[in-house]
Order: sequence, then structure tokens, then C-alpha cells
Amino acid sequence: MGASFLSFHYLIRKIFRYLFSFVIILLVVFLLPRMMPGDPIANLVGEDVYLSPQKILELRSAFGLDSPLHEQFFVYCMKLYQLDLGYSFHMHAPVSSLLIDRAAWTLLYIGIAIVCGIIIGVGPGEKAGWESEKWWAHFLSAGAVLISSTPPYLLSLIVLVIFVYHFGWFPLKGFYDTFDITSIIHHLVLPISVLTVFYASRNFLIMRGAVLSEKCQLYPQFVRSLGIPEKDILSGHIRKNAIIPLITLIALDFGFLFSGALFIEIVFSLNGMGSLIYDAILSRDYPVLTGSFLVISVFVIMANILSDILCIVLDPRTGRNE
Amino acid sequence: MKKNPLLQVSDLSVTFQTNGDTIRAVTGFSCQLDYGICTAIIGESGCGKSVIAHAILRLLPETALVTGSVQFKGKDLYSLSLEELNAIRGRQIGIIFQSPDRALNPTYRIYRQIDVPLRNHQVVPEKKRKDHILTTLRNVGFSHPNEAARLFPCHCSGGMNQRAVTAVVLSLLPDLIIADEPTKGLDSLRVSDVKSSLLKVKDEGRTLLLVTHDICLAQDLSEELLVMYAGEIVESGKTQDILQSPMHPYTRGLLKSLPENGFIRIPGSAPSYANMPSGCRFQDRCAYASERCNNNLELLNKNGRMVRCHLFC
Amino acid sequence: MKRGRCKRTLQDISLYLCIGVITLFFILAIIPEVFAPFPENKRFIPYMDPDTVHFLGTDDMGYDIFSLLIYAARISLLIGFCAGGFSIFIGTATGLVSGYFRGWIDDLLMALTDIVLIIPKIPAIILISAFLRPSIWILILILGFFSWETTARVVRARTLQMSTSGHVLSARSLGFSSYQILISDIVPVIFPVLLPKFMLTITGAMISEASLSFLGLSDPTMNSWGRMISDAFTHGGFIREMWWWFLPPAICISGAIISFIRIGMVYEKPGQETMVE
Repeated sequence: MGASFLSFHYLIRKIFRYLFSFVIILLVVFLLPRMMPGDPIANLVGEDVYLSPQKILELRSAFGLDSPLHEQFFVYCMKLYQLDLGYSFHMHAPVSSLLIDRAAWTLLYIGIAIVCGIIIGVGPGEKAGWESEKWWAHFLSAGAVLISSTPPYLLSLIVLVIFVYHFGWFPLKGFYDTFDITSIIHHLVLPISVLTVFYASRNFLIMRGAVLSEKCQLYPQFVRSLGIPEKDILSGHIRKNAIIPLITLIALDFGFLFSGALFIEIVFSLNGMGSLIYDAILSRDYPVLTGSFLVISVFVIMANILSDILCIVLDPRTGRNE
Repeated sequence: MKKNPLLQVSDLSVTFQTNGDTIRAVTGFSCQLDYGICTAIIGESGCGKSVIAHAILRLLPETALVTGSVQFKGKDLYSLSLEELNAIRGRQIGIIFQSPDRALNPTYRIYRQIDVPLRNHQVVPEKKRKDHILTTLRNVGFSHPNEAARLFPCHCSGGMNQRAVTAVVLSLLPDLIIADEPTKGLDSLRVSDVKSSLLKVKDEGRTLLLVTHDICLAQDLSEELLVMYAGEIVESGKTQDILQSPMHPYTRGLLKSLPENGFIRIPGSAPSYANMPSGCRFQDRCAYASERCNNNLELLNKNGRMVRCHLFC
Repeated sequence: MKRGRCKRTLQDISLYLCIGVITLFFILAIIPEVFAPFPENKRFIPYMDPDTVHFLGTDDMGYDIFSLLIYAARISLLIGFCAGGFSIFIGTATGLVSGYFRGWIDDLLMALTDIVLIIPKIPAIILISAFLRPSIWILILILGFFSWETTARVVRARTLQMSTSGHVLSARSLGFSSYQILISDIVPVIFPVLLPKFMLTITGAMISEASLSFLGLSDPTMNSWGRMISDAFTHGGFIREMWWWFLPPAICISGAIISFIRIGMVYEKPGQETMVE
């Protein structure tokens, strides 16, 4: 495809930087509880957890708090390698199993929202960029800007009030009560809709902007002078170039899956990873918090690598300006 | 019997409306291109040359007001439907754009840049397409067309992209080729490359309209010459005639400004296109200006040459 | 032609409107006592509906919501501006130094920027806030720290462009010091790029602050618009459909954000949508 030696070199350099970031994240996550004011045990285990003195001693040796820092770090990394993210004393379960349980649901509905956001947002965005002077293009753009300027949780809250409290069309809680498909769909309609609207507006604005800027380039004019009809210029030339930044952005979406989920799950009382994190915040359950942060970071880094690879494959100009 | 001209432009005027200003980029431009003849339009940057090239193919934006007529092979290009126009664009009239780096689609390989319009116009049957593309690439100067075809514009030098753009246009085998500033920003080696490709085009019998600021290029390639200043034609006629004995003061000043003639600058600068002076547009910079220059003047016919100057009334 | 002029007037109107909104918020932030009918800590009967005395009713603790709204402007804007300013300052300095001096400084700073760029911001902010339970200034520091990278990149790109331009090179050959060149030649050119970025970082900081307040992670003693919404959520304002409690702060936040974005668009040309991020 478009990859060349230069682009490959660029990718390698980026991956090195990602690894470096990950190491720093590891360090921060490792050091934060141990450097904080207060008892390290409380910082490592979470607050509001009652521990007998014997348990405290056990934990001290389990965490290796008496050994030098670099040894602790080594042990920490080893545990991570075995996918042991620690134990949550609040929820009485290993962090990794908690995460796996909850993550599936979150992935499900956010994945659906991302896909729907693409379907709804990209096409109109392209059209709005191509025919940017029409009234509906201005109208939709204003709407998209309005939606994108609202903090996501705000929109969810407003939707919640209108559709759940006021109209009562959708249920409030009780997501796990039954495994009935219709019940699940009923619960998920609102959160997926809100997320979709958000993703769609952003996709719309980006696609429109990309098409607008491609339209002003010289090559569409050249191709026009060669007798290619307008619709072929849009589909064959502009679309392909305009969609590149959007694709890389969507790849990044998969990395931020979980952080986006946080507020949605709080507002709509869903039982996914977001609400897990929220409970951990409320109860200061640090093992869950740090474990989730690590998992999210890994996802983000992988998403970034995916996005860089896509960029290199699709756009031969990547890596030339460094 | 004299054949009808290939392209006949009559009284073409282009006006742009922007933010309350009226920019008269081209005023009253007329020319006639006969089959097989190379005509050159020379003038300073910004005198409206490229606007004419784009106006011929109706490539100007909607904010441009175009009056006059452009007849190609007897058909008025401005009264054609978009479909009919697209059949002519590229296939019968092709423009070699300036700034080749930006004229090429950055995500297409060179092969595809040529292939897409070729497919659109169905110039050659499918089986022969690849050979046709490679032959065209070789003709414009690529010694290894196979490798060149696989490159992206961002991996090519400016000169290579220039050749690629030329290849794209030539591959469609158009009857009229408009070369818009083909040597802008190129060093002398590249300039001679461009010159030889254009000479080859002429040898094949095609009609060439050369838009350039390079007088030497115009001299080597063209038979007919049009000199433009501030959107108007100030002198036109046979190239050799004009360059040996220029009539209009601007043409004389242009020739004197060549390095071999002394590098003497024409004092002053071009008038603002929003506020044109009435009468002759060159009078502020003209050594021979007088009272009469305030009156508008048509092109005068002096033994087959057209001049717009009161000195020749 | 007429449509063009009409469009321009609409654009001008929207710009003046937004400047007006921000100015209003600023005035409210600086002298809230003039506009608020009651001090923020005066308590009345809780959960009252809006009436002529309490324009927006009272919250669960009995505070007058309208007064709270006005007082909250100060904190919300302060956080937005300071975090945004902090982030712009670091970002610009980094970008300028990086783009102007190039070489190993450039590599080092860009590597640092990349690294910070990758760290997922909201989770990191949440994590740090959960551990630190920050006061307002630590909050500003954290928010500012996580948003300087895009500014740095953009400033660096422009500085690179500018440092090879004609008048900078001639200034150098005339003996001006780097610092002088940076300040007098390069900064004015960067300004059109900085302004939208500044607006973006302000809006980003405001959204982050609102989100953090929502999660209960910001300073519980500070009263900001985000805090009001969060209080409404956790203290029964939503269930009771007390839209007068949470909608006004929400509108204020959104209004401020849209206004900042519109002001940031002042240098934008069509086809160059820098604010869409």
C-alpha cells in the first residue's frame, strides 16, 4: 500500500514512545499510593475497609512494603505480567475478574453506539461539506456544534429527566434483574441513543470539515478539468482523502471506550465498567481504580497504534513531516 | 480553403465579486487558435492569463461573472450542458496545471492518476490501457515508467510531478492543450525537459496554447503571440514579428527587462484590479504617456498586428 | 452577493452575542454581590419552587438557587481560565523553544509531548483526584497539565515555518537575540492559532471540571456550575424534576462553552475548521 521506509521508521518511533508512556503510567500507578501522605496500606487497599492488625501485617508482607522500592516495583510488574491486578477488598473479588465481567457489557453498547454514530454521522457530514452553502448544511452544523459543546453527561441527564422521569417511557434501574432480551434492549435504548447522537455529531463535524478543506485543494479542480463528473470527484477523490482523519479518530474511539462509558453508566444506572469505576471512586477502592486505569491505558495505547497503522496504510504522506 | 479555427474566443471578460470589491480580472479578450498552431500568451504574474485558461473550460467558481463567447470546433462551450462539457474537458481540451505537487491527488499512485480519466473517457480499450499509460510516461521523460507509475506524488520531486501532470493530460490525446505556466519555479534543466515534451506535442500536430511569463519559452515554441497587461491584450501578432520589433511600450519594456537586453525594470507596478484607471491601463508606467491616454482605446490593426496604443493611431 | 453580506452580518451578530455573554459572566464572576439577591450561605425553606422572591427556587439545603448560580460563575470561569492559561503557557513555551531551536531540544520536548498525549486524560484526572482530593488550585494544575500537548504541537509547527521565513532570518543576521525575535516576530504570527486553542483548552477545562464535580471528585467546598448539577443529581433534584435547579447551570456551562468557541473562530477562514476537535 502506501507504506514506505520512512513511514515504517515513523511507526517504530511512535511505538517506542507509546512503550515509554506505558512505563511512565506504570510508575505513576505504582508510586502514587506509596508516596501519598498517609498510611500506604490504606492507600493500597482503599478506605473504609476494616482490617484486623494481623491482616495488616499479612498485607504488608504481601505488598512487600518493607522491601526497597525497586524490588517492590519488580514484584509489581511480575504480577501484572501474570494479569494479576490486585484484589478489591470492597467487592471481595480479584480486580481482573471484576473488570472482565463488567467490561463485556460496556463493550457491547458502546460498540453499537460507535457503529451507529458512523452510519448516521459520516454520510450527512460528507454531504454537508460538499454542498456547504445549502440551508440544511448550516442547520445541521449548528446542531452538531451545539451537541458537541454540551458535556456528554449533561445531555444524558437531560434525556434522563425527559424520557425516564417525566414520560416514564424507559426504566430507571434494574438492568440485571432478568436476562430477557427485550428488557435489556429497553434499558439500553436511551444510553445507546445518547452516545450515538454524540458520536454522530462529532463524526458529522469532522467529515464536513475534512470535505470542506479537500474541496479547496487544487487536485479536485485538476480532475474536474479532465472531465470527471462532479459526483465521481466526490466519491472517487474527495471521499477517500477526507475520511482518513476520521478513520484514525474512530480507531482512537475504541481506546476511550471505557472513559466515555463512565458518565453514561452513572446516569442511566447501567452495570458496566463505568459504574464499577464510579463505585470505586465513591468508596475509594484504589485497587479497582488503579487496575482500571492500567487496563484503560493499555486499550488507549493499542488504539493509538491501530490508528497510526491505519494512517500509514491509507495516507502515503504520513511520517514525512517529523 | 482555410479551415475553421479550433478555438475562437470573443470578447471574453471575467469579473470577480468579493466583499464589495469588483475585480475585473480579464477585459475584452479575443483570440483565435488555428489547428496545429502554437499560440503563447505572455505577461506578468497576475495579469489574468491563468484566468483565461480556466475560463475556457468553465472552471471558474460561481462567484465569477463571465461574458463573451468561447467557441470550440464551432460549439459555444458556455451553452453546453454539464455532461456535454465533461465530454470535451480532458478529452478534447486539456489543461496542464501549475503547481503540479498540488494538482495531483496525494493518495493516488501515478498510474491511477492517469488511469482514472482514461477510464472515464474510454480513450483506449481496456487491454491496451496499461501499455498506453506506460508509453505516455516514457514520452514525457520517465526512463523507468514501470517504477514511476507506482510512486505517490509525495515521493516524487517537483520535476517528476510536473512530468506526471503532463502525462495525465497527454494520455487523453486532446486536440487542444493549454499549458498553464509549465516552467514556473523550475530550474533550467527541467525547463528544457518541459520544452522538449511540448515540442513533441507540437510535432504530433496538436494545437497548443502556452500561458507563460517566460519570453524565451514563448519564442522557441510559439508562432502566434499575445501580450497581456492588467487583464487586457495590448499587442498580438506573429511571435517573431513582435519580438524583433515590438510596438507597444509595455512589450518594449518587457523585452528590455530580459537579462540579455540589460535587465532594465519597468518602473512602477500593475494597477489595482479593483480600481482600474480609465483609458490605457499602462499609462502610469509609460514613458510615452500623454493626454490622449486617458481615452479608452480598441485594438488597432497595423499590417496584421494588433496594438492597443495611441502612439499608433 | 446579497447572501454573502447577509451571512457575514449573521456571523458578526453571533460574535458580538458571544462576547456579550462572556462579558456578562465575567462581570458576574467579579462582583456577584451586586447581582445576587441573597448571599450564597443564607438558608431558606428547601425545595421551593421558583417564585418572585426566589427566581429559581431553593435547593435541598435551602440555598437560593439563583444566587448560587451567580456566585458559581466565579469558580467555573476561574478554573476554566486558569487551567486554560496554564496549559497555553506551557504549550506555547514548549512549542516555541522546540520549533525555534530545533535539534535535540526539539526531539526531547516532542517525545515528552507525545508521552503526555497518550495518557488517557479523564481516567488519569479521575485517578489523581481520587487519591489527592484536590483543592481548587491543585485541580487547576492537573487540568492544565493534561491539555498542553496539542497547543505545543501546533505552536511548534508554526514556529518551524516562521523560523525559516524571510524577516526572521534577516532579524537574526542583524543581531537580534533569540528572545527578542521570538517575542516580536513569531508570537504575533502565532496568535491567530493560539486564540482558538486557548478557547478550546478553556472549554475543555470547564467540561472536565464539571465532570469531576459530577463524580464528586472536585473540591466539595467550592461552588461551581458543575457542582450544582452534581448536587442536583445526588440530592434528588432530578427525580423531583426540578429543572430550575440543574438546567440553569447546564445552560450557563453550555452557553459559556459555545461563546468561547465562537470567539475562537474569529480568525477562521472557510475550509479551515480548526475548532472542530
